[in-house]
Amino acid sequence: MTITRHLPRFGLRGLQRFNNVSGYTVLMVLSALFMIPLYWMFSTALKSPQQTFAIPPEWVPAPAQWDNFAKVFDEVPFGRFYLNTFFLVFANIAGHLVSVTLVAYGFARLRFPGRNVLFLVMLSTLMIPYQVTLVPRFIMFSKLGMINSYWPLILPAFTGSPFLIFLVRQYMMSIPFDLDEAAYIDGASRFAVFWRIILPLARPALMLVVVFTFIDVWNDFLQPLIYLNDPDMFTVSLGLSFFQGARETNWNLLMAGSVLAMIPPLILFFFAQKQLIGGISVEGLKG
Amino acid sequence: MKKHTWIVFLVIAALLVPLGAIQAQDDEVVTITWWSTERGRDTAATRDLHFQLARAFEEANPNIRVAISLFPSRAFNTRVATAIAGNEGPDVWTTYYAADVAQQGFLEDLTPYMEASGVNPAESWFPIGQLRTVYDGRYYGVPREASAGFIAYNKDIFDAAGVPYPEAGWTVAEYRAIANQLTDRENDQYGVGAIAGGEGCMLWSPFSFNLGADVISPDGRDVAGYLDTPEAAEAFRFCLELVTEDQVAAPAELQDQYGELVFLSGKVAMQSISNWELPALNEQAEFEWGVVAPPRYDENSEGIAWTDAYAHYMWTGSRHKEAAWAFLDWLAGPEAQRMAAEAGIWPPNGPGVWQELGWDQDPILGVAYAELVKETRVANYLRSQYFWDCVYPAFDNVRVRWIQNGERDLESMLAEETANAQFCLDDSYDF
Repeated sequence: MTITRHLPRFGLRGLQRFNNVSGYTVLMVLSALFMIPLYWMFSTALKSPQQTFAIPPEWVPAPAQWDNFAKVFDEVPFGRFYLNTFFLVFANIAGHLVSVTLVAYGFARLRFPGRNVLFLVMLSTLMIPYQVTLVPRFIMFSKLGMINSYWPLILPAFTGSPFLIFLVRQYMMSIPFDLDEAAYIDGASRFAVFWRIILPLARPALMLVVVFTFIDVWNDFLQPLIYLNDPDMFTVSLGLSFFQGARETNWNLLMAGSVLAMIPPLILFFFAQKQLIGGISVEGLKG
Repeated sequence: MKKHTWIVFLVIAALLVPLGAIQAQDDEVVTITWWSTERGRDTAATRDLHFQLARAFEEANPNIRVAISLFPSRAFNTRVATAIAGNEGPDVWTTYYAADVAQQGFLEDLTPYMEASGVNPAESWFPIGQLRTVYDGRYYGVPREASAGFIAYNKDIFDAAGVPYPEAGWTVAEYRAIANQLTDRENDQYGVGAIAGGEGCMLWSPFSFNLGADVISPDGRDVAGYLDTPEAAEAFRFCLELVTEDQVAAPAELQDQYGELVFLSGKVAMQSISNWELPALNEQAEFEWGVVAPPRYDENSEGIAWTDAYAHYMWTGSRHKEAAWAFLDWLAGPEAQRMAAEAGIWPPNGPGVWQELGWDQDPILGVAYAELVKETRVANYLRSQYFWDCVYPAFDNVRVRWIQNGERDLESMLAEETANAQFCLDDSYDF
């Protein structure tokens, strides 16, 4: 009733505009709230230790200590850590793309005895906490003479990831079987169907694999800590931890390092967000 | 060549080959691994020091190479434990706590090595270095450094109030009186640092020792008979009354902003600190400050010092024990200690280098030196690996019940908390 009474004054377009404006206002306020921690991180990265603890808090540091970013590279070989982490990220992405797609294709498109049981067994490994397998895995890689090398951080990616296999398998199951059958009729082999039909259609799911793997490896702290001894082989997340001592934390450099560490995932998300959100929504609809 | 000439030649060769092999074995270079942590500040300087120490040692011992791995302190113990479980432990590692590791059999007993090398801890190390490396009467480590606890005071606040600076030999009653005198809550000024969490009262405060409280047994397995004694109750009451009755402690919000070193705010007249906080004070304090020995219980008692030391350890599974010992012996010796002190990273582990550097006469460091040579004990929280899970909650619970719930029957509270803590310790120690 109230709406209809106001209609003559604002009109439908006016009401829609009012709704849009109020909606955007709420969203902007919420965004600003969510951005506060990020802003605080960036602001602390530009402060001196005295400014960090100043009361009242300095929201805009003056003067800004831009050299904190240079100090990060002086204090730890951050550039080296960056390169090492990128190498691990790309190796893991390659590993996951190969293993996850093949296994998911098998579970999604091939019919063989025990398929569902095997799939359940694979899924059940998701329930095992990483800490349980930490020492046995360490001993295994130790026996293989791979400690203090990147192999323990790369090889597991080539054996698949239950979560990613599950995601991709669900996506592949949503692709109509008619396409496979048409290709078989045209004389395509199973691998050709996988390579030429299923993989191109599963691109949004593969993008999810890329993004999840990137973020997972980029942020991984425990595995590089456990398997690497040589500081020249360390990764960004290990590098950041060097600013946190048992009794002292160098907040400014920690925040400056965190800003630097955040850039690659941010760029990835910026470029991949369309496909990523598309992939997630398709997963949600069809999975 | 005649036949017998050949025979003589072959015999000589047969003798020379093993001799050569023995010589080659003597010249063989062994590589030992040394794992350590960095400390959050001066990361590059700390890392450089590790490498300088290793290179200096290698120069003096050409047959031994040292492969250094520096890990973040956040998960260092996990790293070491995993490696030991996988039989890939380091020959030498450096950490702040390893008593339970000794109990589990992962630490090499260094006593025979020390006897063979003529190391005399009583002469070379401060008392804390001896306490922190001994388990069951045997030495399992060598002290990396030595640090002490003392009271920092803000000279500007004392001067403004016309209160004389505290001097060594003062008592806890005088400390409390000065704290009351210098508190001006309306102007956001407090007599002592914030008392928040378990740490605030007792954990690493020299007050607990000087008030006669020793809240956990030396082997870290018992709190019954320690945490529930009248002395412990008196120490708790002293601490908690600073918050509720005297209201001289800085509010927790101030500590939230400044972290443990709330003294840096310039609004706190006195705070219990240690050598570890001196670099931050030197760099960041925007007021005049000084340090003084912690107060003793009364004029008839001697003060008990709060001191601490990290230590270097050898893994029992080390494949190069002699080389690892040579390195440990060198690290704890004067040359390495001097290098670390001159780099400003660690205070030396024994009086010799302090005196050589004139630190014992320094107005600030001299206070630490005087504490380091005093009677001392191992800090409460370093006696058991289960302290934080089992005993720490007792401190926090008593504080919350006293301050927030207004409960005042301290003896009953301590009895309850002691029973819970003891149950947890008994449950945890299954070895």
